[in-house]
Amino acid sequence: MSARLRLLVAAVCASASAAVSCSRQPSATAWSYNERAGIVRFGGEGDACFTIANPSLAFGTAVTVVELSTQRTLTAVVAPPTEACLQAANGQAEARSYRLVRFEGSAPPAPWFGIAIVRSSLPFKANASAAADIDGDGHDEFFRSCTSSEGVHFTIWSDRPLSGTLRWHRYSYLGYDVTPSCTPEEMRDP
Amino acid sequence: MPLSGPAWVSRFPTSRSVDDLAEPFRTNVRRFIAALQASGATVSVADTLRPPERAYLMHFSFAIAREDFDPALADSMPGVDIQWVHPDSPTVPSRMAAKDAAELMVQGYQIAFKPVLTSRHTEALAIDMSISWTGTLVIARADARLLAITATPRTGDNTLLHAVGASYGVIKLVRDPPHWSVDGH
Repeated sequence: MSARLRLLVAAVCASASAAVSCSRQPSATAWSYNERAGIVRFGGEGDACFTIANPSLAFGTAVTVVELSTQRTLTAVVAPPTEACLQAANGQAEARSYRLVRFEGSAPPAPWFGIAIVRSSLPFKANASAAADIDGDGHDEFFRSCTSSEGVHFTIWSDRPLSGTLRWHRYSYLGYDVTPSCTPEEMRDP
Repeated sequence: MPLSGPAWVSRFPTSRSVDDLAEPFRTNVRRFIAALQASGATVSVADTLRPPERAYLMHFSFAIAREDFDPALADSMPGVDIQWVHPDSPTVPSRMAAKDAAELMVQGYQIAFKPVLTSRHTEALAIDMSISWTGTLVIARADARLLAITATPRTGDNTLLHAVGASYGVIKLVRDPPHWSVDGH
């Protein structure tokens, strides 16, 4: 859909009398995976560092976190980063560091990784894999992580993990060696 | 022998020094970094040598804490006089004490995924470093020929830079952005 058509659809949908279904149309402002999705690293000392390519997140902003090993979802809010969080974001291009606080939901023992979605009010489907139409295009998104030799690759897919459309990819350095589990599809950018 | 527990975490630290790499890889890395710096690139070294003793401690602490591995079956390692099996006490059974102590090590190391025992890092044959520059990078290959890199990204992910590294015997592992090694593993 062109930008012009997208704006037109949004204008129509904004009208209370519009006799059209708008539930599957994108909003006027294109949903940005870069600005709305980031990596959460919940450390052993309770710090949940949140790294995202968005320099203007307001403290107190709500996020939904998908914990990747269990695919459970939690909620939290954005807070100023600790020094440890700032150091963790060093070397990641365009990354901005925050901290997440006030978690609600059950999480596995720390440390763990997750993908956080900013201001997502949509319900996540809690099957074997967490899923939600986070960008509002009528297609569910799925959340995955896998390991390379010494890092974690995070991906978001539309429709199906691995064989659907890749929407977003990020890497986080572990600093120790692990057994690789990633497929080539999980280590490329969209 | 000292019992397992968090006191072990600070022992056998990871090195950030190129001096701890094995020859001839050490010299190759020095020459590559010198070429990068001479061309105006910024190089920040993270890990070089990960001591095998540290990998051993991380591997078995994770196995005991998170995989219900029997501490009595943990391999021994020369130079690491750790006692994975804890004595029984009136309040805590031996197996639980061993698991709790291993969990404190997992927390101390910040382990999220099971560490492996050996790698190019434990062999002193790998280096993790972030590389960046602005504008065009004019860099010398190992044979002294100059290459002007105008393509992006202006980071260690640049494929032309990978070829320059290879000319020095420093090979990129593409799936891990900071990682370079003697053979790309």
